[in-house]
Formats: sequence, structure tokens, C-alpha cells
Amino acid sequence: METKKPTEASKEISRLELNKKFYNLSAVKESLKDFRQIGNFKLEVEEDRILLTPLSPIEDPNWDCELCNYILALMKNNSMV
Amino acid sequence: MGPNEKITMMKSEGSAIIKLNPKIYPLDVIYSAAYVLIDRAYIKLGGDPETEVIAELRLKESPRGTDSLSKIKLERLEMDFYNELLNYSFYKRQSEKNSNIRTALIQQVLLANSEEDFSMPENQSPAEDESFLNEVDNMEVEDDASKIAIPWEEKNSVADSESPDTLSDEREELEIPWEEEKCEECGECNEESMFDDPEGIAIPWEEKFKDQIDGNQKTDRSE
Repeated sequence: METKKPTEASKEISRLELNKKFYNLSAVKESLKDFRQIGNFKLEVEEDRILLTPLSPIEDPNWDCELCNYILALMKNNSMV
Repeated sequence: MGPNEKITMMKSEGSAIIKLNPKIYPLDVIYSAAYVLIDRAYIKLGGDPETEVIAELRLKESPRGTDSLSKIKLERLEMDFYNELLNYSFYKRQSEKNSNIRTALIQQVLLANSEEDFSMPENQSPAEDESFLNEVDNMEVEDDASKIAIPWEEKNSVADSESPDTLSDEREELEIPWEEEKCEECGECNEESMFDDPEGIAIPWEEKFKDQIDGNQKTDRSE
């Protein structure tokens, strides 16, 4: 899992990469619905990873960490893991 | 990486990276341990679930801090994570060990509940129950020497109808004060006859020994 941080202030939007072997795709989609209040995200699915890119800058610098935790909790609560 | 080897590296950004062997700590155990700490730290999982699992822990309070307090807290978080891994590993082992017993117990409970639901005979309907109860209510008691089955009101009303005079006499006697009750011997109202006093206890002393008192007084005067 990798997170690319903006190199220039408020110009480049960070992206969140999740390992597909550890994070369930349906749980990620459900989490994005719940995070709509924070912002809208672009979801890309590759062979071994899931890419999440916010469509607009997000104020909270820890949004990626919060989203990771949320997805983990969702998987646990739904007995996905 | 060996089966018992785990490597921990401290990043400059204030996070701890823990590499775990999935043969020692299965994936569901890692998920459970991580779930417990998500309120205190940010946790990200990566690596390969078959060979090496990488867990990155970052404190929520000071995610980017490098001061000594943050390092201490981070170290403590790491230790807590190890403890949770051990805890859930043990829980999982015990759960597997007791799975047969647990299944048997649940089956027994479900079976017992299902037997209670079918206690009524299948050929008996609720309507038939009511008719049976009615029959019982209307049934006459054959042996009732003490007349317990007869209601009190019914019993007394029957008694009244058979000998009304006796009942009225008894009632009259109850209403007469005891002082005015008639003497059974002479048939007249006599208060003294109500008491039997063979020893003369009720007689006043002066009256009872009047003769003796008078005799003593005469003797005293002559002296």
C-alpha cells in the first residue's frame, strides 16, 4: 500500500493505493459512499492493487489513513475477514 | 525470512513497520489485532499474505512527530500490537479446539427447544380442549360425603328450606345478651343461677363470716 503525497503545496492531489490481497473491493466501494461528505473519489482497479484518487483537494491531511482504518473496520464488521 | 523472524523498522515519519510471518500469525488474526487498535492508531496492511505481511502503524495523536514522547508512545503501540496478535492467536486455537463441543451443545439446545414446541398431541385441536374442559366442569361428583363440592350458599339455602324454625331459633339465641339468657332449669332470668359457686367464692367475706365476727365482738366487750 502506498500513498503519494503532493510535492508542491496544494497543486498535486495525493493518491491512495491499496493491496487487493488485503482490502476487499466491495468494502472499498461501500467506504467511498460513506466518505462522500469528505469528497468524491475516483476508483481504479488493477491486477494487484486498488487506486483511489480524490477528485478535489481534501482538507484533512490524514484522509488516506482514516479511509484505510474505515475499510478495515468495515471488513471486520461485515465478517469479510 | 525464517518462520520465527519478524523485523521492525522505525520510519522517520513517526510510524512503525512490522513484518509478520503468516504461518505464525494467520491473516484473520492480524486483522483482529489491527481492528482493536484502529481507535488509537492508523494501520495499513500490505505485502504478501502467503509469505510476508507488512503492517504499518502510525499514532493518531502525533502522526508526524519525531520527539521522544512520540517514540515512546509508538513503541508502546507496537508492543500492544504484539500482545493482541498473541491474544487472538490463542483465541483462535481455543476456538478450534472447542468447536466440536460447541457444535454439540448448540445442537442439543436446538433439539430440546424443538421438542417443547411439539408437546401437544398432533390429533388434538384447541376446540377439542375447550369441549373437554366443559365436560369436566359439568361433571357431578359421585363420592362427596363431606359435601365439599356443594357451594356454601347452596348448602345453606337447602338447609333453610328443610328446617327453617331451627335456624331462626339459633339466630334468636345469638341476638340475646348473655346476661338476659334464661335459666335452663327454672326458665327465668336469673343472674345468680348463671354461675356455679360451690365454694362460695363469690360471696363477700363480711357476709360469709358475719357470725364469727359478731361472736368476737361480744367476747371483746365482756373482757
